[in-house]
Amino acid sequence: MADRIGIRKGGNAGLVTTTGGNDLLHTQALTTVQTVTFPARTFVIRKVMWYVPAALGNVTLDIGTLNAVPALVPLLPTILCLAGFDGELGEAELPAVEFIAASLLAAAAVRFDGNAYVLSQAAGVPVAGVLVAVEIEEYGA
Amino acid sequence: MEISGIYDSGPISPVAKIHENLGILTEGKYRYFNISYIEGLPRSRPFIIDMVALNNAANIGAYAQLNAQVVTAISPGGSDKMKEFLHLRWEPLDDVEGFLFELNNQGRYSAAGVFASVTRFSRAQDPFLAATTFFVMGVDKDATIGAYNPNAVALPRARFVFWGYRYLVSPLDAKPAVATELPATSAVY
Repeated sequence: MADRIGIRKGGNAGLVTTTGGNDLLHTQALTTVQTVTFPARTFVIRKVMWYVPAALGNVTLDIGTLNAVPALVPLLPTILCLAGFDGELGEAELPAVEFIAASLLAAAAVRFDGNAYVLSQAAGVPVAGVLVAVEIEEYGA
Repeated sequence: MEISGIYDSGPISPVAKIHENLGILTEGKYRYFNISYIEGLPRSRPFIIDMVALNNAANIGAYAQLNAQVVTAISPGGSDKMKEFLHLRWEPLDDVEGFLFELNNQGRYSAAGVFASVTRFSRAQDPFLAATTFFVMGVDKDATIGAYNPNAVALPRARFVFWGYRYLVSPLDAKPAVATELPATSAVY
């Protein structure tokens, strides 16, 4: 099957400075038809770029979506980012994980909101101040 | 009767030649015109309109729609004796959807109760955007465009670009022996 044709753009949260919480990178586009709301589009992260200020020390980035708890559900492997360095992962390195909101009837643990979030941590402790931007490809119409 | 083929998949081209006749569905029935002149309207900056600017808005909100009568780009002129007739295609430059209304309240590109839109995805299936073809005929029949933002965030701009042809046509008193009849124009009702 041929690839679907999507549109590329930056994550709609823009350039994100992490807060130590689950920081929004991209919000899913929803539509409502006959009073039922569902995702009009899905998306795949095609590039992640980051910069870690030296004072933070090495950090990890977990990128994923929120479930109904709400808790972060990582959808990509944890990324180790070195202090004082920038870095990026492009389309060739990233798995084509599709972010899609789950049905309201799904169990809470897997009732994903479909948005992309990032959590930055240093030695397992949430830390603020990492700069992160993503490029995404949206599918749908 | 000639077949126009205006929705054939391919680049836009005039529906007929100079001195040929057009049958245009307007004001409830086919009316017939002779073409005096045709010129191109290349895809270009002056034919870009921004619905945020036309509405004097700060932005187009998430899941919000802005409408405006687009007089700058798609309002033909003319008189009773010589009318302008615009033949256009269009697409959004920003990630918004375009809805077309003619006579302000006549939604186009519609099935029974659903109106299709032209989007950033349209070109993927329809590379020359043939299915977006529309016509605007005569005076006081400018098209109205609706811009809808399908994104979960507000966008600063909602721009559309138009291109096609402008015809000058003279009305004929009777149906000619040969005419290219267009299946759609402004004011189909």
